[in-house]
Amino acid sequence: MLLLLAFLMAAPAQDADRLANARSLLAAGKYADALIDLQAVSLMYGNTLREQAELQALRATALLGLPDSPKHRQDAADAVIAVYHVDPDGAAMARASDAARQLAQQIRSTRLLVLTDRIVTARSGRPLRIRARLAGAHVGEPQLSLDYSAQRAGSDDTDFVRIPMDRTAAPDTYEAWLRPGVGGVPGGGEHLLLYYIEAEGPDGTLLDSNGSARDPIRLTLSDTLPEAAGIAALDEGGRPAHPVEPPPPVPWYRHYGIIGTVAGAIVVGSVVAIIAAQPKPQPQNGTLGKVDLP
Amino acid sequence: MRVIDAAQRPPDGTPWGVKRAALLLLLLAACKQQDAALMITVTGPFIIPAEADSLSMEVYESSNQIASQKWTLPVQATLNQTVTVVEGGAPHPHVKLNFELYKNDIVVGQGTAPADFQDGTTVPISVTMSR
Repeated sequence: MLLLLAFLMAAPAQDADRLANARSLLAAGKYADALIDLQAVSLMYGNTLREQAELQALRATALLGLPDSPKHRQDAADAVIAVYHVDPDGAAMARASDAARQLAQQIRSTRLLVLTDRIVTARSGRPLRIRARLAGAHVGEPQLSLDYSAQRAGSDDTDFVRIPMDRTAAPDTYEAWLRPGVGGVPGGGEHLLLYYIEAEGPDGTLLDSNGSARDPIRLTLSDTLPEAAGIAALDEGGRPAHPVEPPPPVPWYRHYGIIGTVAGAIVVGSVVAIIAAQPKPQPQNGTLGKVDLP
Repeated sequence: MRVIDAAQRPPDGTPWGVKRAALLLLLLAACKQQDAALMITVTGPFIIPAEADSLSMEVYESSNQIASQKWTLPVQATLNQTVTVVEGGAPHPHVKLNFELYKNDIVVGQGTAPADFQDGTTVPISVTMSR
């Protein structure tokens, strides 16, 4: 019994506790150990956007706590940028160290960031507006483009369709509409929409990319998920959300499959009847007339 | 993974089923064909009505007579008439045609010919009457 207890105590911390463990390690100044825990947590599925932002903020803190080197500083900068990509307001930076916050301030004053409000679920079969805004320093007018790929559940087709994003009336704000049935956007049903947003300079250089082809933003298009029913922030042009009542069930005889089959049978039957009613061609009569055999 | 332009994406489904059904119906309509028939031309060195005034035809299948007809002939320098026999009912693939020319109900000429019906076509047959 004591042996089993000792084994359980020696077992590694549960994944759910590793983020808290990483925070403790950071507070204790054990940055390398904290990075290991943060890496383990980041590989878990199901991290919320807030958790992802905090992970990157803590990672930047740990990297800046390690002995200073160009690689550590670059990795920390990448982590800070990742924070803003996931958390446009940068609220997660409140959990970062002063050094990480100073680095964030420096990044925002020296380079451009593409920010977008990521959503997890949206209603399927409705126009979807993807918005982005630019933050940080930039010169000239960047061109933003949206790359998206709609996948049915279980499919691994990742051909991205690229469309330009349009400027809106608000400064440094862009938007693109994805309309059902147009350009590969599914007309309805359960789908996974992968997308990313790139900003290119006037000379075509990539200034920033929120998401990428290898690590796109994932959005579930759903008719049935309850989270999708209440989200109207992006689709419907950002009008205020309103409660959505599920439509009444459609009677069986009004399904498109039934109506289409019956209509098709009527059309085909009518054409066949018209053809059958046409008289057969008759042989030419002789000068003495025609004799029909019984 | 690759990126393609939205304008290059192929259009959504085309109603091929409707096109196929329409094509099938057209083919069915084209397959509607006439009854099998014989176009028999009866000729002979007979002055009508000086030498003959009427013509009879008997159609035999095996030894059974299945049809007969008699016509009063119009005025002609020589006999040259046509008659159409149609296989409208039961199939009669092989028949024999017997013709007789009459002058005042007396037989003055005869002619005969075998004939085979072919589905959907009119088969030309020539019968020459002899005294």
